[in-house]
Amino acid sequence: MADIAVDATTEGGPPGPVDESYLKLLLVLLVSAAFFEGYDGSILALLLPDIQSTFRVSEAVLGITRIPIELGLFVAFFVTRLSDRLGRRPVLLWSVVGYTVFTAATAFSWDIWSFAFFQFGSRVFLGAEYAIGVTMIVEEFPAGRRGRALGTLLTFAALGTIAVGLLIAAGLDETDLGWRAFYLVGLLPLLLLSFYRRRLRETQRFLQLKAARDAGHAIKEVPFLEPWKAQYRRNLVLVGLIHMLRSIPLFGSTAWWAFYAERERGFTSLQVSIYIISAYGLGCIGYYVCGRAMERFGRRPTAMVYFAGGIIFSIVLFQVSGAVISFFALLLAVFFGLGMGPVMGSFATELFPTEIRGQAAAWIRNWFEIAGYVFGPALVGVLGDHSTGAIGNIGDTVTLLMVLQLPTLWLVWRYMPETKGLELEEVMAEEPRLMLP
Amino acid sequence: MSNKTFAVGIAVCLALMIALGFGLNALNRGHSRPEGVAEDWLAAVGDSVRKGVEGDATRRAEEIGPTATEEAIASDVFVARDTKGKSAFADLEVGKAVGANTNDAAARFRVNSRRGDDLIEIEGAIVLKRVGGDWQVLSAFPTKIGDRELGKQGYDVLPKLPSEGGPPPSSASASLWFIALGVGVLVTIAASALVNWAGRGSALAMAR
Repeated sequence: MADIAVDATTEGGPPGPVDESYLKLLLVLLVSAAFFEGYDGSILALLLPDIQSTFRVSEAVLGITRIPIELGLFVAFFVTRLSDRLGRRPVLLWSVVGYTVFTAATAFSWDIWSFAFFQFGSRVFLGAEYAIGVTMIVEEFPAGRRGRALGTLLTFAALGTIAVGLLIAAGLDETDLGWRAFYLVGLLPLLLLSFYRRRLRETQRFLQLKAARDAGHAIKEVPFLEPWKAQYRRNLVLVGLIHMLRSIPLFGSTAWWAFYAERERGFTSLQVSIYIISAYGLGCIGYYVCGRAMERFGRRPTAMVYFAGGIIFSIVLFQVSGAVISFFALLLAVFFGLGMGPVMGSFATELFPTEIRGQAAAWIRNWFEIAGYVFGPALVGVLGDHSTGAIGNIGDTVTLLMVLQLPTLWLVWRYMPETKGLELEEVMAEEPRLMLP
Repeated sequence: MSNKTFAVGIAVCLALMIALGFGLNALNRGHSRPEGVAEDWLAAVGDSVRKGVEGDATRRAEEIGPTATEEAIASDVFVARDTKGKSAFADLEVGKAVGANTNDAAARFRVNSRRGDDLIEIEGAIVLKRVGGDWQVLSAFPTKIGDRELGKQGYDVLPKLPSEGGPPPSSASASLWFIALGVGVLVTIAASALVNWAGRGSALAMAR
């Protein structure tokens, strides 16, 4: 396997400052990717019964179709890794086009299998779009503002979820188009892109890398297993494990909270909707606060506080019955549990050099984290099943799974390097020292 | 990392997943709770009027309780016809059953039943019978429809619904909480060992 030079040749010094107006434009363009990541995921979660009715399929068939759809996020890995070879800009632009085409096509699905196929395609490009968006933020924003930019980006993912709730409340699903109208909204990113496409630039760090490649100082194609090479393996395993151990209970709890609230706490469906919209609305401030906190206090302390908060308030949420306490517990569980996205995004990108940054982030997100996305809800469903589950209680099952997040506190405290205030080139230069406990 | 090591890693992960599947299956074996069966039945009966899934839902309900399903669907008090293509029940809740250790069980339930754009709360009881290793719904009868109280014979002895302060149908045992903590410690040790193993390779590579 060929070596990639990770030294001053490829990393060089930090590139010159990017002008302020461009950074604003970049953030505006990238937040649409994050927004539709939250939006698209929520359509499927909230409108599945309507989709089932349209295509007249059983619960069993519906369950089977979820498998290829969610596999799209896994396949997104292969699109994302192209960004280390072709550049961030072209892969992002083509991902937006791909996402939009497949999402619009979903609105015209004629049966459940065409629906599953179009949603699979949409997930492939959406996953890539999101991962590249985070990488571009990390590469273009200066060290002092990276956290805030990540916080802003990820706040929009939560707003995407709220938007679906508000559109349902406004009755969009009651129109003649029904759930199909929600997918047509997905055409908006393409409109935005057609206006601003020419103003979106390649990241300066990728241009530096490209120059190094053209000069023969770095190889042109990054091998598939490059992030697993000895010098990167520790950080890949560390950050990957943290993502996986977080995502199993996180996705288990988010997928089952509505069911739990209704069947085990007696909430009405209206109460559940109101709770989700308001708690997400207020809780998504957590993303922004996280971005600010990781700049001010550092990545490690912010991650520790957010992990602890996420565990505590999720346990409270799934153990108490009072409506008022449940509301505040849900709000704070969203604030801490989901709101730590920016610091997780920085762990997944800042610790790897430019030539493998996209691919390393893809490994972490599309392999480690997606494992939790698949297994978390499945574990809660199987063990908490009211009829045949070994525990037979969704609230207790989620609480027990929260134990899996405890090791993340130890891993962050013991092993995670602090990158606060460091430019990416400084992180790479100081890597051996940062790795010391 | 070589391709061979990667392939071995993937094979180990797949083996762990299969082992997890078998483990979960073994853990779940032998559990059949009347409350869960009652809940599944109510959900299926509710869906028997939902546009697009009427046939599948009716079949599922009939598998759990053939006679009870026929009665429930025939009675438009319990399952209204004017649900605008949605499920008959906007939400539902089932309480802890009495007699779960015998062959006959009963539990309280509450549903918000759709009447056009309105919802009406129905409370009642579901009676189940053990057939082989599984439970079947024998009948479901409302004791309260909106503000109208109906007959309540035997209803008061049933445990209250969890939302009224009653016990949950099932919960994790005390020993399970300790086991979970033990698993947490084991995962921490395993994760630390993995990071240390990966770190040794990184340190050597950097030293070279």
